[in-house]
Amino acid sequence: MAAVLPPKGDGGTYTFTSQPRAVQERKKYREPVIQQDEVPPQYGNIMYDRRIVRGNTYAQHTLPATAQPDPIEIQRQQENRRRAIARKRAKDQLRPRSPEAVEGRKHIDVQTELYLEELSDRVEEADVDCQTDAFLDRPPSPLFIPAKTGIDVTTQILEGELFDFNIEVKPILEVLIGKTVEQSLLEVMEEEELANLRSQQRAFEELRNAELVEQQRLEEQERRHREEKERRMKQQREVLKKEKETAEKIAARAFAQSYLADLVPSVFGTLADNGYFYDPVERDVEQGFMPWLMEQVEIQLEKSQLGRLVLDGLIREVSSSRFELYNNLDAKLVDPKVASATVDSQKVKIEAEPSPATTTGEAEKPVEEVPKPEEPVESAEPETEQTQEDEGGED
Amino acid sequence: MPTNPDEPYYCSQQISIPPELPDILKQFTKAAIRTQPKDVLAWSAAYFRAMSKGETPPVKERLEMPVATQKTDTGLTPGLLRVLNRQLGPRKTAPINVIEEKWLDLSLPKEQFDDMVRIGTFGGDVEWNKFLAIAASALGENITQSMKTICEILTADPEGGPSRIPFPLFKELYTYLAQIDGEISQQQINDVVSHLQYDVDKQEGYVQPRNFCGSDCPKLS
Repeated sequence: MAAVLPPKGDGGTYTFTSQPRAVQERKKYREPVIQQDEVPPQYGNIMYDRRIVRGNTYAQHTLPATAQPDPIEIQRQQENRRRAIARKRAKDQLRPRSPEAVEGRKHIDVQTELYLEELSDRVEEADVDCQTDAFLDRPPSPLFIPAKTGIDVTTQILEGELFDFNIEVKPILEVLIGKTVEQSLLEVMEEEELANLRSQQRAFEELRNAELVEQQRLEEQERRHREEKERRMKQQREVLKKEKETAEKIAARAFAQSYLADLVPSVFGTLADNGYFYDPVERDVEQGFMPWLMEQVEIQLEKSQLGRLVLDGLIREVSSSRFELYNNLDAKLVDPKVASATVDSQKVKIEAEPSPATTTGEAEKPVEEVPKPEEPVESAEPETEQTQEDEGGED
Repeated sequence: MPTNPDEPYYCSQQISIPPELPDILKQFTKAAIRTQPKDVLAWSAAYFRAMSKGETPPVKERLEMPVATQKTDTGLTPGLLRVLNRQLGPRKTAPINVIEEKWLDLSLPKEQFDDMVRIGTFGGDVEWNKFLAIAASALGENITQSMKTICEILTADPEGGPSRIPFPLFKELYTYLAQIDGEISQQQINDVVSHLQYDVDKQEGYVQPRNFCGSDCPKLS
């Protein structure tokens, strides 16, 4: 049944003494006939193999091991039992017993007490004490005074003989004074040294401080110098800059001036050309006086024209009336008296009419001024001429 | 001696030494070594007198070799002056005999004391600072030295450090000495004072020898 797989010879990392193999399935029932030829072993599913425990095993009721060890166990136990019995028997035999009963008698356990009593392990105890009489103290042993031997001798110690203060005190004094002096000397030297050190230190520090102060002063001075210098230089630079600016400004101004020098005359010239500069009197005369004059002239002319018109009208009127009159006169020749009266009256009328016309003509003359006196004069003169002519004609 | 004379002493261990004694002895010895008095006995008497009364003993703070063998041969040193200052400084004025007593305790020559009294025309009660100033001028060769000594004596600063004293005090003593001296004009005094005022203002009202010993300060004398 065990088919051992041949070990892998191609360098497996692990080698087995017995290669692991799959478990073959075991048939439930025996084969009635042993198989002749080797049936290929059937490998079953281990999950369904009753020999294999699946799942947790801590709650398993493990069956006792197979029956094989059991007989050994039983045998051992029997052995033990037998040994124990034997031991007990041996012990029993060793135990001292009371002699056997005399013939005819028998040992019997009898109860001697009246009442049944429980025999427990507790042992009956009873306290018993006794007292002796008070003893006397042991008396002290007597002093051992040996027997006197030898001779008695006495001596007297006077004060001052055992002990002389001055002598005794000397070592103390020596130590005291000596140590004191020595110690104080040492201490003084130490203190002196320390004080010297300190004072030297301080003196040195003082010196250093003084030097520091000096140094700082010098530094301050240096710094101030430098700042002063800086300031001066800055000032100088400013001044230069200003000068440059000023020069530039002057140059610019000069240039501008020269450039614009021409401007003003040209401007003035242009303005003058365009008539912006005018003589106010002239302008006034031109603007105010002349139009007014013209107007007045116009008015006068109109007036004269009007007068002329009126005169014309008058003349025409007169002429026509005269004509009519003369016509009537002709007709009335028959009646010469009537005619002369009417003619006189009419003459007077006619004379009266032109005189206002002449007066108006004369009035016009002085009013009109020189510039254009010719026309009205001319107009007036022809008028007068005309009227005179008319008068002449009349006459 | 035994505490009770009745009971005899039997051995040296019974001798008892007062417990304060070693200490007193030590202090005394140290003071003596430091002060180096010429007359040890007299000085010791003065020392113990002062200690018993609770005053400052005539002890120098620092060891200073006695200068009695120098040319001046007066015996007065800055250290001794300092001693006197420590003793008498706290009281502004002292009767002249007290000063004399302390002076003699230090075994200083009496003639010098009389000289100084004469110079300062001191009467019954003497202002200690003025006496100190005169003594310092006796020590120093010129007034600058004297003022330096005065600064060092009167300062509260530790030794070797900047010996600073308040400026008003300096002014007072300097004016006093200048007047005693007689050769220093008021103008010079004013110059010095005004020059030092600048430094003093930077040093919180204190003046130190460095200020007037330097080269940029007008000379004091």
